[in-house]
Amino acid sequence: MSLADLWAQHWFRAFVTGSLVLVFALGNFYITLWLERKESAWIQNRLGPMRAGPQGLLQVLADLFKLLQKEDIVPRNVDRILFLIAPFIAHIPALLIFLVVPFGPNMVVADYDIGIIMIAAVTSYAVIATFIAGWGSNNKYSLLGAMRGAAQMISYEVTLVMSVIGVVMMAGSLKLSDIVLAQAERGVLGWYLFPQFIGFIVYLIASLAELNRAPFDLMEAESELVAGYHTEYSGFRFAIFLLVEYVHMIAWSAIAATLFLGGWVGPTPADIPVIGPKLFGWMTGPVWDNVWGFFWFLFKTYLLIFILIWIRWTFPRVRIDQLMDLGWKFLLPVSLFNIFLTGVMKYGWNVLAESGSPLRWIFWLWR
Amino acid sequence: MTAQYLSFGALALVTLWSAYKVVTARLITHAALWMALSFTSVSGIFLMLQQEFIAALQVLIYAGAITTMIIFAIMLSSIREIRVEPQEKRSIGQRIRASGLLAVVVGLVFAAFMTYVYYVSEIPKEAVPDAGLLTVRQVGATLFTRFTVPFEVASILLLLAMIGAIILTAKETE
Repeated sequence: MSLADLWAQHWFRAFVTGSLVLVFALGNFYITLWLERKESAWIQNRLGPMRAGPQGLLQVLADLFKLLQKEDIVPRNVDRILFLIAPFIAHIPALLIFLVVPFGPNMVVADYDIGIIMIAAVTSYAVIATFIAGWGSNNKYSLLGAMRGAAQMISYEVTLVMSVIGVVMMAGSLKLSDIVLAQAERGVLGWYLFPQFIGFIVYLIASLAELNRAPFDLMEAESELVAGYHTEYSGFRFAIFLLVEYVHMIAWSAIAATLFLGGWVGPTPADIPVIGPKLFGWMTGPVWDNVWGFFWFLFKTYLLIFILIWIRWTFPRVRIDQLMDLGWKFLLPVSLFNIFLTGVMKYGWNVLAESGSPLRWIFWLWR
Repeated sequence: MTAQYLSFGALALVTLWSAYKVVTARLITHAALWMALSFTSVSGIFLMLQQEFIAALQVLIYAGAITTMIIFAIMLSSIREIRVEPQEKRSIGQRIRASGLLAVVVGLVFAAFMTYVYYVSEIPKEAVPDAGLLTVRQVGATLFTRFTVPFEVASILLLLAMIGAIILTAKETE
């Protein structure tokens, strides 16, 4: 059986692509964790890890080994099974999101027609995992943290989905690869960032809240709740919670890059005027398209990760009532207004596009 | 084909076992979590039928929203454990209830009824050509053309339920 025959088999393809997603998530977890340490250090006028490896690149590895060596403590009065499986359940939604993200042209594991709904659906397991961890720990602080976290996550999930609806209306599809192609068709800088600027800002804030990162890290607010839902966890189970947080961050950034920043669409060296085709003409073809697509996708994702880390180390934590007010009384109405605006502007362009009236340029951005 | 039967069998087993555990779990939180597992494996069966939209909705609404709501209800009502205290003296009615005879009878009647329905009803031998894949577009178009009035009525019902919940739970602040 040749490799091509094997590739045609569903189970083999699922195995290989699934493993690649896992490798992608873990590799980027490593880089993001290192980036968080360095960036926090730069913001606080420090150097950050410098000793382990060049620029402290091996520091994360050392930390993970340290956590792996530690004793796996299971406190006596915990709900044993729930306590043990909680980190793994928390892992599921973070990885499932990557199944629908297009990494490049035709580089997507499962191109569901309902991409965005699927993302919204699997995210709900994060709430359940938080609850399992908090409840299973049989600890007041853990349960309080889990309850806060669940309230926060379900509130902001609504806002998150609402902020994305504008993009879906513009592209006319829930499929993530279709959304990227629709942005590619709009030409240079046809990203949905510009017509959907309100949606992008709302998405950014809501995803921060969904990730439970500062300034919205109320479920693990160390000054109030010790460490929230993972107070009782130690050793490698704690490391898995850390992993989940960062993989989630990469996933939300990847989705934001796909929806608002054009995903894998970007110029290649062959697109440079005059000298481009002559010098880099050999950089065309399906393989190079994939390479450059993946490069732009990663670049945009890391841009957003950088912004998320920047926000974390710049803003103080908000209070729980401020958080709820922001979510329900400000972000949700704003995102509903964005849906209304998108509908009106799109209709206006559809009506006026063919006419010669100069008024049509008002609606041009929502074409 | 065998792989299909095997995966269907696994999903069905998980669904049935977790549904059984929902009823018999001693802790009410465990029951809620078993229910989430049951809903999840049902969505797996929908995925096997290639109805991704319904599978996603099953996860979104049942495993996500409803389980979370039940968990919230549990946490807010501060019931941590329901203990069944063994009683010394029992009346006949209580003894019958405790023996589980009623459950067996009702279960058997239900199984018999379902088997009857299964044998009587005609299962289409071939897939209906029009049915095809249920897309979001079709659902949306149907909702806003043919079923506009039921859709709006359902919306009003939900709005009423929401207002009712707020009135019931809001504390009177003076």
